[in-house]
Amino acid sequence: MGTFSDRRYLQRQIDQISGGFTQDFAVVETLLRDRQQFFAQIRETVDVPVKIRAMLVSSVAFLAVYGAVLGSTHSLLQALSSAVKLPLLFLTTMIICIPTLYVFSVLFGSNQRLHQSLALVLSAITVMAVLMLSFASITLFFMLTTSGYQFFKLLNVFFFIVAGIISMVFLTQGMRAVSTADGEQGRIGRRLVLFFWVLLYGFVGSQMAWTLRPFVGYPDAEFELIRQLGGNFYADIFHSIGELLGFFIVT
Amino acid sequence: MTLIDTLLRNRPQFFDEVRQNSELPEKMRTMLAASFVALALYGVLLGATHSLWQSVSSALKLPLLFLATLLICAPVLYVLNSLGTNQRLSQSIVLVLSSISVTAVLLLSFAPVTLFFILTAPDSYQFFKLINVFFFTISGVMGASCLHQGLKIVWPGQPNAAGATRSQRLMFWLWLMLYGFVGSQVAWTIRPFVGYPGVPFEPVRQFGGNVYTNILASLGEILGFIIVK
Repeated sequence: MGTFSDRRYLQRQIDQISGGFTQDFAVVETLLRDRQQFFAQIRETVDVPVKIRAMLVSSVAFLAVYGAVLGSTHSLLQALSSAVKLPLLFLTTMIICIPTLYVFSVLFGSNQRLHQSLALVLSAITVMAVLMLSFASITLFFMLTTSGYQFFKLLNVFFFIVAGIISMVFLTQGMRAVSTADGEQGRIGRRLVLFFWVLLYGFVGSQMAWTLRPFVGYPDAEFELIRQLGGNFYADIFHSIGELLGFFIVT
Repeated sequence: MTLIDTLLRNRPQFFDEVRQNSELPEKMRTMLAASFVALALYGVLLGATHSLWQSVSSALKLPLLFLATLLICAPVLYVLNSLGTNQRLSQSIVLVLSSISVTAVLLLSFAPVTLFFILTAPDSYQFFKLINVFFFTISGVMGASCLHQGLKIVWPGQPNAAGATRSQRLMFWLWLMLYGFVGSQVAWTIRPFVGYPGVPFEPVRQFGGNVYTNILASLGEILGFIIVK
């Protein structure tokens, strides 16, 4: 009897957790299908914490799946590590950059609260994660049928760019929908702020990705959690350009 | 905090209160404290690439830079104000402080990004310096535009006495340029803020000089006009 009630308890726990996931995914479905309603709810601060939780859970889940696919060309360990690193990449970058967006938007007359900004940015990341998940089957197909590392890398760069651009458009729409309550003054300023913030996000994100690499893993190399050679993405690029043009030699 | 929040969110109201001279000393005190704290925190980050001592020293020097410059330039502001009609020095100082506070808060909002680059790219001094120049430029420009907005509200141009108010604003802009001019020299005098990696900690770099003569000298050498010894 004891084992039976234990099992029932376990079953209930599982039901609860999966029910929670179902709810979370339902929120994401609203986001995809009826974004005007979704943005309106963020504007009126309806259930914002619930939404943030749902989007966090689902974007982590989706990105982890894609990360696993990314790393699986190399080894199981690489798949596991990329499954952790890909969500980490997007969410840590968001946490690092959100204060800048918030303070600058407020300066340009936005009435948003911090959790509203967070929900908006998170919704864009979720859209990106969903798109990446939808690309996963294609990635998997190419992984099984071809073996070129460079091709695989380029294909993924392309997918990330497409998903990134779509999510940026999404973020712009969201900002516009949520800030209709704000004053007319500084509207152009807020749009500029968003534009520059997206650049900042990309800037920080590139460095973050550089720090966390490898994601795919070079076929012949051993598995490594984080590639040891440090450096800085931009310094590296500037260095190369500077040397190329022969203006200066950075030491 | 509420005051800073008003300053960021609802500047017209804030400057309206300044125009009516309501609670100016309190505003001054709050903004002084807030900008001091924000600048000190950012100073800690600036020095953190070098050493603990550099952090502590930059935490003191960054607020000092902004506030000492204000102190140095205040007498001129007072004289310029008395040349105008019935301006009050406290109003001018509140205006300047509000712009410093905006700059400080914006800088603080860049702090996570700066911290991130300190952690992930510890050995790129030039890069770190450049992104900070960029962050300071953006924050400074925003602070100045906030000041511009404030000026228009606190001393609006009146149709009947347009000459007077316009000259007031002009004087204020002149003063602002003076502030920038003095500020650059103060920054040069109390440098380093970041600290060059190979060099041991120094509170103030010993060789004196002057930011402007230095720039002119470098330009002159590059163009080959003069050779500075």
